[in-house]
Amino acid sequence: MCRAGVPLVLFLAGVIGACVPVPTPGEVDDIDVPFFETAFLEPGEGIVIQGDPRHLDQETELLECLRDGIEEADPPLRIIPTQGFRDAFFPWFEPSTSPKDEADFERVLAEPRVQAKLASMNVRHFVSLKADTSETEMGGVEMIAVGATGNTRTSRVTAEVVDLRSGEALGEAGVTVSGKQLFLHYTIFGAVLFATTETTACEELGRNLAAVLNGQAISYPDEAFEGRHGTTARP
Amino acid sequence: MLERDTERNPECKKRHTLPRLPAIGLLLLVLSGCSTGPEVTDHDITLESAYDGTPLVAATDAMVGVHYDAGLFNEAMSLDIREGRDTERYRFVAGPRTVELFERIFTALFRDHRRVSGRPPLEEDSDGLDGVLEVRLAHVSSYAMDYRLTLFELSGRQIYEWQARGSIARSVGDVEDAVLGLRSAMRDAAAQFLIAFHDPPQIQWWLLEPGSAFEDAPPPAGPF
Repeated sequence: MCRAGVPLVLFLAGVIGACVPVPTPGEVDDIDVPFFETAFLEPGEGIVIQGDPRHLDQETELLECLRDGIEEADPPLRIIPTQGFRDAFFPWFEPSTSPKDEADFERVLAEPRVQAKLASMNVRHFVSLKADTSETEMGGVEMIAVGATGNTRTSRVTAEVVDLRSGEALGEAGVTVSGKQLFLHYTIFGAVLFATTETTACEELGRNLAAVLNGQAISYPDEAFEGRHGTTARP
Repeated sequence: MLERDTERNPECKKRHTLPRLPAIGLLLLVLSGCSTGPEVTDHDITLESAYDGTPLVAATDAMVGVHYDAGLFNEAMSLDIREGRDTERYRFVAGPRTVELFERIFTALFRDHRRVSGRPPLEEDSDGLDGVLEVRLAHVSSYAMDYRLTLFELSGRQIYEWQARGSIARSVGDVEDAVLGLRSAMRDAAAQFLIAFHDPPQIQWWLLEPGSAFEDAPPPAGPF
């Protein structure tokens, strides 16, 4: 029984530990959050955030992540749930009908019913999120069945803010984060990638965006940017 | 014969005195495993309601008959999920939810509407109708719903056909993914139709003079 149990335990350990990612949370390379002077929210006004509605999986993750950053805002920001917003404004914010540029927003906001609904829900800004991640392989070591590989991931998450009172695009805010990841694995199993840099980038963006929409300066310590590229527009 | 062998060869006796019950059990297990091939189990999934609100669009003054093509209730998307050697085959039926969604849309878009039995000319009473709108599902696949909506005069002549194709990029994982993806695609297609409804010149003319043909329209005042 004992002899038979050892291979079994080893096999189970192999399956469970088939891929052990050792990610780093990533370092902020660049913060570019303009201080939108006309973007400050009045008490009670809310924002709605949308990712790419054609990619539901990615949109859900991004929204949750940005929300985590925004929830740290003081005073808190009122975020209108995305699906509830789409339901309330159907058919204007579905994947293929959602406004893509200022001309689209102008057309949608010209609808009297849309204007009335915006006023009743007190929605001020429409925040459109995008995320892009690139990877650079760092090479690796393979020994029979065990190996280690790594890569450098760079994620940039951007948010375009549109003022729904005028349809004017106020500008784009973005955060870039890069980090190295090491994967220890048994070669018979595939690697699993954890998008830790993307999470760091969108949380950071959420924090900064919330500060700006509250009319506050971004309170990032200067030393945090030492040796990195970074732009923060201050009031 | 066996007894004679065992008397002569004690090793042989040892072999035949192995416990037989587990061996029979193992044999039965192997046989039972071979007796059944891979199985395919079918499941019909009716989608959730795609939308239960009132669309933010202006109502027209038209009254239309609505015909839902029979094919709408036959088309379905299939998703096979392998579980070991067996397959669970899920068939997503879109017809009932399509009707539910478009009924809401037509309630918001037209002064009134009622179901009719087919394309015009109608067998039943067509009093009060300005035209007949037919809804067809041209194609359904992984998270794409392709509808055709055709407006006919009561004489049977086609006024305009809209193509509304909703599609969502979503990884095909499980049943829940498929339900959410198809629901979004259905909504997206319906939203396209609602927004594009007023755009064609034929429809603008029909809305001005419901029941009359676009060809009867006077030439536009120029110069352009």
